Amino acid sequence: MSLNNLIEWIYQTPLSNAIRETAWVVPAVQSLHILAIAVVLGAALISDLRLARLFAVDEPVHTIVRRYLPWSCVSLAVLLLTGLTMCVGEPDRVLVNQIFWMRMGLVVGVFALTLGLRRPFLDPGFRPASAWRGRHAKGLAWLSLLMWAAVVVCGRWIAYGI
Amino acid sequence: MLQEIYDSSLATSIREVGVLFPALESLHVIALTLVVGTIAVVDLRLLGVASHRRSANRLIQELLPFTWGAFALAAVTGSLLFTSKSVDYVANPAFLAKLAVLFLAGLNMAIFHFGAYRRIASWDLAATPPPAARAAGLFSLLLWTATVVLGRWIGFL
Repeated sequence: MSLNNLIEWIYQTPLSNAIRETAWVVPAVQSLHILAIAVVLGAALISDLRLARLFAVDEPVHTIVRRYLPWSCVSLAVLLLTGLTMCVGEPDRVLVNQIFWMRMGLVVGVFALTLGLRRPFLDPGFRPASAWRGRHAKGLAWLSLLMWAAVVVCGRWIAYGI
Repeated sequence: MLQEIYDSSLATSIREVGVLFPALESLHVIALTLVVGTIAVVDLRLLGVASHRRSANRLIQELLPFTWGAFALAAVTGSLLFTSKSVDYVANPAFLAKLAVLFLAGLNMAIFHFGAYRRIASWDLAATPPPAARAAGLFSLLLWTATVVLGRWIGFL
């Protein structure tokens, strides 16, 4: 089944029609998507700045990581659900859009980076000084923040590109 | 006057130079998500939900600079976006409602700042802050959520 066939098939399902034609659904789902992004970015900003030793340096890293990582994970679930709803509602708008796929790649990448950076710190006994990750945590934290910014930019550009 | 803004070279550039409007929108979204994300941490603490530190005052002091910085970026990008389609936006009920809600959010913040915040020494380390502080946190969350929703609706009306 080609991508275009898949798009057509999704498009004609009752669910897809309902999403597209019930006036409030798309704006509501998009709003929820944006709110979830706010949670993810807020959590990322605080955690990444702490990793870069620029914020709340009096609190141990693992305290900060343990407090905010669950929020990031729950928000990711909300993002995937709302995103899936938007894909089902308007498959022709996203599935052939290169910018959409680039954004998905970035999302996978930044979440992998986020988890990879933070997981070790969930163990209070972890001492990063001797590990590779410790030396490069600052740079990786900034890379993570930049990637989040790129995710948001791509999100807006989905509407403008194909 | 709105027509003058609309006709200005700045507004015209934003409308006509392909990448300007989407770029401003993207920056606006990054800024507003940072406003909401950082403010939510403080609001939840005011509601008694633990943050990464116990002291509410220290939390407010360390986070608010980021909130204000993000808000400044949101206000600048928002103003520039506004100039490009000023005539249309002032006729858009979602846009007008968003401005009203923003004003209320600011009012809520001012009330908190001159009220419960003045007495923060007495409830700084309390897990559950006093009712006035909790109300401020709740209203803030509700008003900022409404701002996001109304902002999104602007494009649909």
